Amino acid sequence: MFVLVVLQDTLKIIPSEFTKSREDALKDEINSKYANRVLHDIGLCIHAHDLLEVDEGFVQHSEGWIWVKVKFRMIVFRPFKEEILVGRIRSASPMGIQVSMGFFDDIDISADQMPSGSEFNSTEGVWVWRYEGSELFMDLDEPVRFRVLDSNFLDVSPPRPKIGDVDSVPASHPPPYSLTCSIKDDGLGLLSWWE
Amino acid sequence: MEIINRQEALLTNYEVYKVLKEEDDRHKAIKTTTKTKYPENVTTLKFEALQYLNGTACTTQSADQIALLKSQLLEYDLTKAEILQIINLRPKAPVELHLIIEECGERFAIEDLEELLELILATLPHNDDSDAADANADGDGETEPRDNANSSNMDVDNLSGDL
Repeated sequence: MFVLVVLQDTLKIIPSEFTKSREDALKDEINSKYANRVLHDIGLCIHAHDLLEVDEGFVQHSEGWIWVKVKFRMIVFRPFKEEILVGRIRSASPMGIQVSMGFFDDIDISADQMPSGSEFNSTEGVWVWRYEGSELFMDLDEPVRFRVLDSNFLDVSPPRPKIGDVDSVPASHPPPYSLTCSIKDDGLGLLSWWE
Repeated sequence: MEIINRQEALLTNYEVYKVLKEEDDRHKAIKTTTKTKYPENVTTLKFEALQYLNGTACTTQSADQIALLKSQLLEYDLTKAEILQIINLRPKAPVELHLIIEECGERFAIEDLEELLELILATLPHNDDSDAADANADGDGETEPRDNANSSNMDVDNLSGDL
């Protein structure tokens, strides 16, 4: 589910960071810039793994900080196709269920990827799998095992208000990175079903 | 920013856990001496990712265990992705192996799979083992983190990358 990605960037170290070792200061700067950020076609950046190359840095005219060109390795969340993962059910609707892994929430399992014989129970607000006469409820917050079918990257620019319409901010914008998943196979679905 | 290599290596959950745990300890140590505040995106993600990983099998793994399992799995002719998932998910039932291993039924006999499961459970011991016998006592998947995850000082850089 995690991969190492090699990146290169020019980062600045501000004077208050000079007390730290160069390595720690750079790692902190990398993390504050990249952690929890989705890079297009790369994935969700988790944390700096290590630094590969660090140049000596330079101070620009009239500035008090150092610019350092650094090549580093980043831990990135990007599951491969067909990978099996475990998460928890976050919400359910007639369209399907959404699964969360805590640090990553945009996991969708659509209605056609449910086990055959499942249907949405609108009174309970959860999905139910009818299997050999028994009703298996997919309650919220239950751990669920799923298979990754596809990952979708969306190039989202920051929401831009329309001219003359200062107050309106789009209520929700689509996630930049989401996973399309399935629980339609033996062994997938709630962990408790297969124990 | 420039992307040099989109995928240099695959990482096991254990390797990620170790990096985050070390960083968490460092943050805690710094907090006691200075008033340094870390940005919210860093602390939130670290907390959530650690919380997730604490519920997986990687908390009790060590670099030695993973290296040993990797060498033991050589004779089974598994792909890199399959070995990675075996380490991360630590399958306990044949149905889980069928999910992880492609065309499992054709490649392996039932006896092979049972042998494989025993091997995995023996090489990667975990504290939910006692519950595993009576099936679903551990249904919520919560496991207490143990300290021995960091006991090994062996360098595991690219452990899974060299698979």
